[in-house]
Order: sequence, then structure tokens, then C-alpha cells
Amino acid sequence: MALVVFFVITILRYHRKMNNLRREKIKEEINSLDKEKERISFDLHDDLGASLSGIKLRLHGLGGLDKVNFDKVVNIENQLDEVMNRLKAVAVTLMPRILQRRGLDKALQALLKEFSNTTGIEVTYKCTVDAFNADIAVHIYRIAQEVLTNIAKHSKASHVTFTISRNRHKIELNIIDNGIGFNVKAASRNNGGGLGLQNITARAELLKAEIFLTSDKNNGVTYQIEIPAA
Amino acid sequence: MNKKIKVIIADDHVFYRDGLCSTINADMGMQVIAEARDATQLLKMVRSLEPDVVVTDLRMPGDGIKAIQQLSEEGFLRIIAISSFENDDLIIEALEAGALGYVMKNANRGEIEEAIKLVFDFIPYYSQSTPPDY
Repeated sequence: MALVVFFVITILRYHRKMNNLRREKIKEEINSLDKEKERISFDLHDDLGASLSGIKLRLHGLGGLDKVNFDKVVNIENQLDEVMNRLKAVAVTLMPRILQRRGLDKALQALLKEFSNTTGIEVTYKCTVDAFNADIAVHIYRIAQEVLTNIAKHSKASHVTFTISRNRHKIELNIIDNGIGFNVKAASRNNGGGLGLQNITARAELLKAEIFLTSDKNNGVTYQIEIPAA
Repeated sequence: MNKKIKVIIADDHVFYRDGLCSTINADMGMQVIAEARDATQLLKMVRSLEPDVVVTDLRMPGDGIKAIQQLSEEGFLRIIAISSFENDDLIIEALEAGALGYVMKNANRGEIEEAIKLVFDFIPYYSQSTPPDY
């Protein structure tokens, strides 16, 4: 009997150790990915953005143009503006400086505003948490990005409700859409869902959070994520 | 006839430096007399060429902020800082270090000319080209 108990405890310890190692590895990979994203975002904005600004200034300074060529230059300037805006959008997606500067609440407001503008999906947002730990904030922001990408791609929703609240024990993130829904069990069987769901799960795991994903056909999806309060 | 405002510009991005240079030179009232690509070059050029206004990047080799501080300590005050980032903490540092104004890198030609003319008259200039939050 004692031998069996010892054996079971050893197995449990081994599993716990392996789980911790796996979590640490995922954490390192995600942190490294976030740093790389931050670097690329900075380079895009500071290096390529500045170069495009310089080219635009040179175009703007061209003199002695007849009407036809002047119109062509104006057209090229407008195209450059468009490229610069796209570049900025990519840089923002990679690493939103607003998150570092003004915190999660403002960053989510900006993200949801952009989401609503680009998808036409109406958003109701409420955050009752004053301040977030910086690490937690980055992961919540990334989870929100992934969930919103999923909604934009697959849900056919017309409305999203996004709330963050907190009590003594946990921070609760609820994202609810009114779209076509999906089969949660089938998605989970499919290698843990698509890449979006896998990313959400990996980040949630780092936060030691629990994800409750519920959906009914034609009745939307609810993403409920409960993060232990630090 | 009024003398042209002599400007030295400093930036490690060659495309931006070229654009800034051609913009400034397109204005009849001002002229770029030298271009620096780092803080060390900037300090040497200012000491030897005695410009009226300096327009300098903050994130460049040798540290733009330190160059501004050094120039300020040497009595050169007509400095405009340029930055890619809105609300960049470095902008505040640049103003504290002695810059008299700042412009964003996406500023248009008119704004750059206005900034140089105001700072030349020792009037502070703070960029109007603030991009939306990002």
C-alpha cells in the first residue's frame, strides 16, 4: 500500500514538474515574441516611417512643375500618406505604445474603437478596474486582440459587449458577441482550436487564468476569462 | 535684403535628412549650412559654423538629448527637437535639456518653416502634427 501511495505521489510530482517546465517554456517564448514585436514595431515607426516622411518632404519641395506634373506629385504624396498610415497600423498592432503610456483601459478603448471602425460591429465597453500590473495588462491586451480577430473573421456579429471587472480574488474579462457561434467541443478537439484560440489559451495559462468558452449555434459566443488577482 | 537663417540639421536617417534639407532650402529665408548624422558631428559643426538654428533628432548615435544639453550649456539656445513619436518621453527631456521647440517627423513643410522662424526669434514652438493615439 505504502509503495502504491509513494508511486502515485511520484507520478503527480513528475506531472506537476513537467507542467511547470512547459509553462515556463511557453512564457519564455511568448515574452521573447512580445519583445521582438516591440522591436519591429519601433523600427517600422522610427526607421521606415521617418524615411517615408523624408521622401514626402522632398516631393513637397519640388518646384517649377506644370499642372500635369504637379497633380502627379500630389497623387504620389497621397499614396505615400496611405502607405504611412498602413505602416503605422501594422506598428500599432505589433506593439501599441498607448498600452505602455496610458494603460490597459485607454489601450482597450482605442483598440475597440479601431475594431468598430474597421468591422462596423457595434461595441459596448465597460472597465471597472483602476490599474493593472504591467505584465497582466500586456497579456489581457493580446487576448483581447486575438478574440476580436476571431470575431471579425468568423462571427458575423453585429454587436460585441466587452467588460472587465475585479473582485478580491480575480479579474474577470467577458467578451460576448451576438454572431453565428461555433461548436466549442469540435474546435477544442481540433488541436486546441485555431491559432487564435491556441494563443488565447497559451496566454491565459501564463496568467494562471481559466477560460470558459460557451457558444450556441446562431446565439453568439461568450469568452469568459478569470485571472487570479495579483 | 535680410540674411538667410543658417540651419544645421542632425539625423541618422538619410532619407529624412534629405527631405528636411530640401524643405528648408526651398524657403528663400533659410538655408541648411551643414548636415550631421550623429551627436558628435552636430557639436563640432555648431561650434565651427555658428548656425542660427539647430534642428536635431533625439534618437541618433551619440544621444541627441546630451547634444542638446551640451549646446545649451555652451549658450546655444535656438534648438528644435524632432521626434517620430507623439508624447515621446524624450520630447520632455529635450525641452528640459534646453530645446526651444519640437516638431514631429510627419510635420509638413509649412510647419517646419514656421518652427524655424519662431525659434530663430527665440519664440518656443510645439508641434501641431500630433498623430492620433496609437
